[in-house]
Amino acid sequence: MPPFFLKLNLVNQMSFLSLKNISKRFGDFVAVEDFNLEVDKGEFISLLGPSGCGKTTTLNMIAGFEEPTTGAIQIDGRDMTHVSPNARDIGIVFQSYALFPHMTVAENVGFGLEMRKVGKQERRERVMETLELVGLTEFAERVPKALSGGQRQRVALARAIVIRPQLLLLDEPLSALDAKIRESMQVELRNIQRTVGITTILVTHDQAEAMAMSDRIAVMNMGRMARLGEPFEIYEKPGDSFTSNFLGSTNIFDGEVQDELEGQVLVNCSDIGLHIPGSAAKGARVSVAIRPEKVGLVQAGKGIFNAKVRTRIFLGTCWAYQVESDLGSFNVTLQNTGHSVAGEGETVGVTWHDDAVRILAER
Amino acid sequence: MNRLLPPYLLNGPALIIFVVMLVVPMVMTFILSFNSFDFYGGIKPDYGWHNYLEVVQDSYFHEIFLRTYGIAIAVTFLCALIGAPEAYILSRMSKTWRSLCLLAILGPLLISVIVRTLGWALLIGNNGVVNEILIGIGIIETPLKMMFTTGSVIVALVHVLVPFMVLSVWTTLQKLDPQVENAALSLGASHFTTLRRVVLPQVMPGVLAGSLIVFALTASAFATPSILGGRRLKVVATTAYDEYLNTLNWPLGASIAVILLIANVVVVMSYNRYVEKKYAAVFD
Repeated sequence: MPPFFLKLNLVNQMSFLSLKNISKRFGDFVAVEDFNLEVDKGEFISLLGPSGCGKTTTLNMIAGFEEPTTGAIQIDGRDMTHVSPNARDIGIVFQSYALFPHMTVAENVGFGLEMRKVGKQERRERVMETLELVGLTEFAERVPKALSGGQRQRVALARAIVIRPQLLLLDEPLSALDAKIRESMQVELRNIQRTVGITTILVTHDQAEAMAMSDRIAVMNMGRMARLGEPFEIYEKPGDSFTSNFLGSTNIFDGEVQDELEGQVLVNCSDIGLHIPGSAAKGARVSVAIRPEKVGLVQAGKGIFNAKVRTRIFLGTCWAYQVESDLGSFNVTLQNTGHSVAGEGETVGVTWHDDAVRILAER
Repeated sequence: MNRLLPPYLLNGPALIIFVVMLVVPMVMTFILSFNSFDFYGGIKPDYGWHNYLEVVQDSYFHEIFLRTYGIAIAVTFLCALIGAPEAYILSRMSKTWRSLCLLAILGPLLISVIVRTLGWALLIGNNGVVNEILIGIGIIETPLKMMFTTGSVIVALVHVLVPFMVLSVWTTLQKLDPQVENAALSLGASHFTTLRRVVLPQVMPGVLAGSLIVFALTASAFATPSILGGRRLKVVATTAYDEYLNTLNWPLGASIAVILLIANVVVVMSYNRYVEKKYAAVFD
């Protein structure tokens, strides 16, 4: 046995939640394959991906509702792989909220404390404290049916955090709310998470939600981890076409590497030569990606190449263009600066900074 | 053309059937129940409360009414006790097994009550299968008396009526958010606590609705009590039948039938009001 301070140090070195090579198969169907994730204490991580990518299955395995076919789950250094869900000390906010319809808000929130044999007096105090945190003090005696969607969501959150769990899991918690409330709840949820300082895993298919709330995002595709990193990092360097497309929209062109210089490659895309940072073997077929907001439109002939405006849509903060060029059709987003811009049918020049273009890994 | 005419026309056939087959006989029974009966003169077209007074004052009828409602309460209770867990287990089964088990539960509904009851008679009669086996393996020497007992009537009625309870609970279980149980588990509740505190309160409306059906059907049951209860173990429905067909005292039989109907309506309606009131705040 090492002395306690060494042991403490050891624990601090390890991540708080770790998923080690977990896989889940349902019969022949592989839901999650060889998934690894290390989460630090207090961190907010999102599992992001389209439906059927295995993110909910992963969450269910962390929660204990599903057992991994292979692999191990550790929380705070303890092996939790086969521990039943009621012994894991995890707070969960379900997509449907899963409130108990026959109990009042206060009874709902107090249920977890009751199960932990917390005395009536303390229970009452902690329930009111938590309801205050989510701004629902005056609704304590209502039943869930009498609340709005946003309020039910807060009850679900209060019920999950009142037990002061070591881990908070959020399963698409905002998907049932309308856009306005969703945005304000994102900010509020993030603030509450920071206040309480609880390690949180969010499952979502909404990339904007994931980017707005998380410290790091794990992008999942077909049961595997496609990309893991901080929101800005993976948005700017998505790595593959799936992540690039899933995080915001992307224009992707096929090209062939013609030459490689120091840290740069010359790619020929439909006879247009593009200088792109990165490296690739000469003669390799690659995908080249550029985000719509990084493309500029200038006078015809003054850009890298010319294109014709097919459609132009005004969105308030910006203009969404679809232009036609030798590279094929692609999307351009221009900030609305109050000045008039090129109209439909006009020929324009297309321009961008070389370092805005990415080479994607082939999958 | 009048805008209201088509709906009335479309309702017509059903309305006519209801009026001819239900309302007319009911009204006639109601009128009949006020007539008097003379053993030599037959039914007399006079009107009075004497039949009702006879039923209300005679302890013979008290016993029959008490027995009927005693059986009804016991059957309802047993159906809830068996049917509710059965429905819950069904809802947790895999699809294939669930279909098979649902078929087994609902199958008996396809067979006539008389046939099913006669089946019970074959099983539990003095020379029935159960007694033969028990005597055969030497546990008892003389056959157990199971026919013509309250117990046998209750058991057979539970068998006949439990599908209604299962269906009723099953319907409410379908509306249950499957995540709710997981929510309770994640908050630290054991499986048993989850069932008791979270699932059961939510399926109670189904249990209560099922109880209503079972209670009403038991209180007015005729075939099973008459076959398995026999001549002496009378319930209200068989008593009314006997007054009509054996004593030929139609007015008295009619008054018994009317009292049974009113009692059932009162029980069912007040029970229904209680359930609605109790769960209105929680369920849509």
